[in-house]
Amino acid sequence: MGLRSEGRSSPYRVVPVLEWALLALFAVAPLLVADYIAVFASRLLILAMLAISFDLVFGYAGIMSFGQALFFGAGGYGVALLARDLGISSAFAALPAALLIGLALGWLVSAFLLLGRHPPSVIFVALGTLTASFAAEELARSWYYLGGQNGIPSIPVLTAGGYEFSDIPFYYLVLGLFVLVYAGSRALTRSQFGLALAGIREQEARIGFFGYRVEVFKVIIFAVAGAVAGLAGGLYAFHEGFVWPSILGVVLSTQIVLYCLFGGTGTLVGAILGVIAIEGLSYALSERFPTIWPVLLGVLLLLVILFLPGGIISLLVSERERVGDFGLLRRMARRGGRVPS
Amino acid sequence: MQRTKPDREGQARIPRRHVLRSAAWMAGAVATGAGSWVIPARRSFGAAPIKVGIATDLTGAIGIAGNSDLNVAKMCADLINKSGGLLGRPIELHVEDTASNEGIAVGNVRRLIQRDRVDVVLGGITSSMRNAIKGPIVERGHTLYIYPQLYEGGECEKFIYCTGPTPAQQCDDLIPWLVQNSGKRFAFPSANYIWPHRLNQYARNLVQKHGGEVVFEEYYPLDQIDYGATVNRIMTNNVEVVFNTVIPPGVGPFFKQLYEAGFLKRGGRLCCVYYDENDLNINAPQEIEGLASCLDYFRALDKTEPDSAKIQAEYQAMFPDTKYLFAAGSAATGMYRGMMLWAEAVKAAGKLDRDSVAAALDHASIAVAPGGPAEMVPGKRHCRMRMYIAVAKNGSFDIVDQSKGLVDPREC
Amino acid sequence: MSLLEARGIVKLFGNLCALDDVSLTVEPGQIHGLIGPNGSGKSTLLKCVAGALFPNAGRVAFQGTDITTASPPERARAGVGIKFQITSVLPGLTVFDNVLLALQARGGVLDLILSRTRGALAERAMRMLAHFHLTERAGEVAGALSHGEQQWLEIAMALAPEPALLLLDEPTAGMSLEERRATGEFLRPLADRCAIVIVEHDLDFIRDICGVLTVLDQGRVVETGSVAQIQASARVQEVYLTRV
Repeated sequence: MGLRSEGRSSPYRVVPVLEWALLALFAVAPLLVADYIAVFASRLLILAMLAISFDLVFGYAGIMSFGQALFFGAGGYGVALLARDLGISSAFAALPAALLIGLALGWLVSAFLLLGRHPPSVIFVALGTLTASFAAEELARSWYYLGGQNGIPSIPVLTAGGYEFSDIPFYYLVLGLFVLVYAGSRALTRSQFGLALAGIREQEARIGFFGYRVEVFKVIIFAVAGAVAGLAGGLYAFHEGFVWPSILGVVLSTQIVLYCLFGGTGTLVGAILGVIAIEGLSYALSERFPTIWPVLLGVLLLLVILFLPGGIISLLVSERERVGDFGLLRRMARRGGRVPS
Repeated sequence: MQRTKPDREGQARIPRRHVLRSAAWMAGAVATGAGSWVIPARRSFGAAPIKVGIATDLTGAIGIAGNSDLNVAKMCADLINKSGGLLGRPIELHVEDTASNEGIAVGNVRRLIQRDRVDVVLGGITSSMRNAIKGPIVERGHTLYIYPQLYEGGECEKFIYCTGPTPAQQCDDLIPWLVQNSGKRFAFPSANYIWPHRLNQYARNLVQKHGGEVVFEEYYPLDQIDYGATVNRIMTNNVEVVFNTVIPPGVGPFFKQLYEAGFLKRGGRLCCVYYDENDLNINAPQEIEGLASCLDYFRALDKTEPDSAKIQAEYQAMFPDTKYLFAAGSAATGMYRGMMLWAEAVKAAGKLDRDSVAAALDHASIAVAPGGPAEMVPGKRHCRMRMYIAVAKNGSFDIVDQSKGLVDPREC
Repeated sequence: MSLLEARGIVKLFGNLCALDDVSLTVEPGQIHGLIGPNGSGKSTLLKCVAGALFPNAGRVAFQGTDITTASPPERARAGVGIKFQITSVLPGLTVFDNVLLALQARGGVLDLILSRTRGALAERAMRMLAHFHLTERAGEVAGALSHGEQQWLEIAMALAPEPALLLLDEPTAGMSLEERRATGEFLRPLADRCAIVIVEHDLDFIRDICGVLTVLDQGRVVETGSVAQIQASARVQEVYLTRV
């Protein structure tokens, strides 16, 4: 009873509704649509995972990473090499490997860019991550061991024991992992750690004077986001059956930023909407307007970013709900009503 | 084998798609005047059409080549349908844009396989694109794939058939010709990707075998524009033949800088085996005078080869105002051979399942194709064809030599 | 042993000498006022103590330890809290979360990830808000508070980690008379818990709550002493008469 009335008066309504609606939609999608659309939906989920990794660093910690594709591509190349050179296509080996590669790289890059006596400027971090992504793409392009320009083709289907994850089972595997990543990210960003991230995002210079070692928080969230991107990259490699230099590069990195700006940052669910909107549009537009679809998509992106700076999520979710609180007030109110809300 | 699920898709999806497509047609016609995405067979056939997937780069960096490939595919489909179709059925093209972007390509190509359930896919221009789409087509899609572009060789996977020239076909006649006509001192300035590496490897052996030497072999970033140091090296080392694999955008400035340094004046020879009529206008005619290329077809053949002339004329008639030339370097000729060899194979097999068509395609041959007849090398999944050496003269190519009979691809 | 001993602090901004051999000593339990005309170096001195600026010469000792080169988080963890002149509450967060943000700052990262300290800190946060009469506003976003309330929230945040030394840069700036009086009421009892250094322009406010005053002018200390001593000082009179 108390819970209900609180729910009506509090601003927290839209995001959970969106989340559950999306989950229900994705859970039943393969039953409703043709297989090839379900396969396309796997790709959406993988890219959404990648977009979430960007939202974690930018939307929550305010770190402008223009290099998320680096971790994604590294995870992808990692599992491609495992499959090509060692014949490993087991989910139990390949996916943790992709995750760890992303984690390690995320830690390395952020330790290099973010540690230091004075907080680095946004431009420095943006250019630093962009450069790392660019360098990785160039490296992959010119290194024969990685297949050079032609990438690594013929990655087998992901397996577990003797089981092969063909189209629909792979979709549900991706969905399952996505839900785990999403729930983990949601818990992290609404924890006390998430509160500290909000402090970094809004008043980075100030909160050091409370005793926060800001760099430590940034490196942690960057490494976590790297791990998420790496896992997504590993899944992507198995999904496409192919990795190539562009999945490490600047274009994809920028595209990730676009997903999040289009959908709206700092809500997690906005990143998913951005991916669905952009990928869905380009999928549909490329079918109907064969010659000019990239232009149409570009104009649309520009319009949304100009006139809806908060992304499409801002049409649905208030700023108050977006920033949210960190669980405690409502919990206390529920427990004894000692805090008026 | 095709997996079938006709009822659910057939009933639930067509009306909605029909409506959407009608709306999109109107909008599309207003915006671009562009045609349909599915190029339907003519109505006079009673039987259900055979579906041919075309996956090529209609937009993006190499959209020009991709569009000429699509035009050729349309032309071939038209020719086949006019002569009665295959097995009494018309063929219908299903087109997907690979957008010069492997990430977009894989998703779009899956539509051909999983939604349209095409019987064969032709397309892909770069090797990285071939690598990207062969998984969904062949390995996971269990569908036949025909790759039309000249390339570095080495694609030996089952059910992938290559109809463009290989390094052997482009070099076996050309290198001896160069040694004989231009000199023994070669330089290999190259763009740093796989095709130049493999091609140079093959060409270097031939140069040495015929008594020439490679003065230097260097690889530059794909977007390098300034070649001052390279030109200097060519001039000071008395290089006689520049066997170039630098690609646009760098190739134009490179040739210009070479010309200005006096390389052509002192009798030097440019050579570039991907150069076709499309590339001749990158530089002023005098800057590339005497440039030698070796391909399976040149426009100049129209004077001597009635079959080639007829194909070229048909293309002009079907696409009178097109800016996309029917030329060898953009895989247009490979596309023609691919479509026609596959059609022959279907006729010979008498059915459409992958294994039967592949078995027939393995030794298919056609008498009429741009540049002359062509045939598959049994068991090798590559194509024998005639090769021509042409030299740029005042802005167009002149044929100076041609192979004796069909040249072997020497692959797999 | 004094709580804070800053000795011979010199701070240069280019050619401008903002602090020229300034010393400041603060004893436990003291409410120490820092006054002087505009540009006399009061805020600069506070920032050198908190670690927002690093002096060109001199040393800062806190509880007997040299912290001259320590980073702001290190100083905060040692027990120095500061409220800057410009309010920097997080306007999008609730009042409660603002205080919690300050309270949990010294916790371990793992505790924060697992939200282990939430329950225990909540009680303290509410006590802190109660002290500044902000209990009713706990669930509202900080941006909805009045300017005065935001200043109080800011003081509450600086005070939340229980520092041994609290530095307040113009806590009553922009406040109404009534709010200034309330601010004095809030601050006076805090002397039991920590020493406070206050930079203020409002001399009445300073006279009301400060035990010791230091007067700065042009980057130098003019006089240090009790309120009565300062009021009697001819040198201080001269500074204020000629410059203010």
